[in-house]
Amino acid sequence: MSDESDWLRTAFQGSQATSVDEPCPAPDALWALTRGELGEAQARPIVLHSSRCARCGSALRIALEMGEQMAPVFTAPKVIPLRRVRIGLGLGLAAAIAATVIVLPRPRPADPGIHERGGAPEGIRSLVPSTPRSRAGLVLEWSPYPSAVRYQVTLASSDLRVLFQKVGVSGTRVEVPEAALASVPRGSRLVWNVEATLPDGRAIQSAAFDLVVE
Amino acid sequence: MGSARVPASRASADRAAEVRTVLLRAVRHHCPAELRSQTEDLAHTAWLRIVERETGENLTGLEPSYLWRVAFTVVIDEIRRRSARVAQAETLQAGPRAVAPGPELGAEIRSCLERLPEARQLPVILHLQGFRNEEVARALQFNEKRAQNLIYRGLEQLRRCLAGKGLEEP
Repeated sequence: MSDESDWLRTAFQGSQATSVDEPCPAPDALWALTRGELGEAQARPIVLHSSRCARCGSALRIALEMGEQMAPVFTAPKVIPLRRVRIGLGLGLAAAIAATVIVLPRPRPADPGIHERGGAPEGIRSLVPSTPRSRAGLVLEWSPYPSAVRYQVTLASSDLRVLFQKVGVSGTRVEVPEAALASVPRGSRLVWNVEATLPDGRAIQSAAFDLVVE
Repeated sequence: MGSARVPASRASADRAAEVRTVLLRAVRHHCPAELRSQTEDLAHTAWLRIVERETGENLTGLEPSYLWRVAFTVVIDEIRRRSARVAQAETLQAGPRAVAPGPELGAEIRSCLERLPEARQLPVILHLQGFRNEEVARALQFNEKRAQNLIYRGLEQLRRCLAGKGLEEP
């Protein structure tokens, strides 16, 4: 579709005003829009303005692209309509956990050692056994995602407080410093996930996995 | 949100570096046409401003969502500042701003866009501005399938309208 409409795009963009008479929305408003923080009534005038003002159109696209790369969002199964897909780690985790509760159980692979919530079965999988893990030398390990260039790993408590995060991981395992778990009581259940970055910049989220620390 | 701080760590330093990389890339991709020649300089200047703005704070210790928001805000301020400067320079040089090919076609496109059903107008306009389907979907809070449908139908109608005026793909 885009190729066929290239000539229309060229003509349209060539005749578009760099800016319009009405004041441009504040950058914060554009950012909030792309984070799904605005209701439709607040969002629509901003999009309408951006459709007329090339400069704000560019700003909106920058916000959208930056937003795509932001903090991890945990993939929920497609049967759960999520209006806001990039609303930060806490709600992302909550969505993944909610998905576990709402979606009918699906057949699981014959690996009782792995606990996970949400996510596509063909995606990144946890390789951490489900038996309680020692906090000393805790290692998070996952299956590689095809063509991923790097990963970001986040470990959070069950109340969604981030305990440890590492970005730019080139391998498929990270060791969690014991100090990061200092506040975690023995026997606590923790949640973690992985985000793979592909060569074209796209990010692929794993399901939320859980584990218990001794 | 802005006051929240977390202890600086290697992870947050990595995160700041990642924000910087993403910022540079996003500006490269979507910088307004009139600033395209200044893209690198613009992005670097914006990053320096982010660092300056957080004087007294450890940049790497900022809460991630705050850092992203600041990065975006600063780069947009910088883009607006520079765009205004370019516009001012063009005004001083008197002559009308050079417009890309097809200003008449542009006017006809706009006229046809006004005739589209309201639901299709905005998705098609954003598409013509260069937004990808998923970006249209996110901006309008649709799902991608709906955005794709509205764009497809809208473009079809737009082409028919233009054909009716004797304007077709060259």
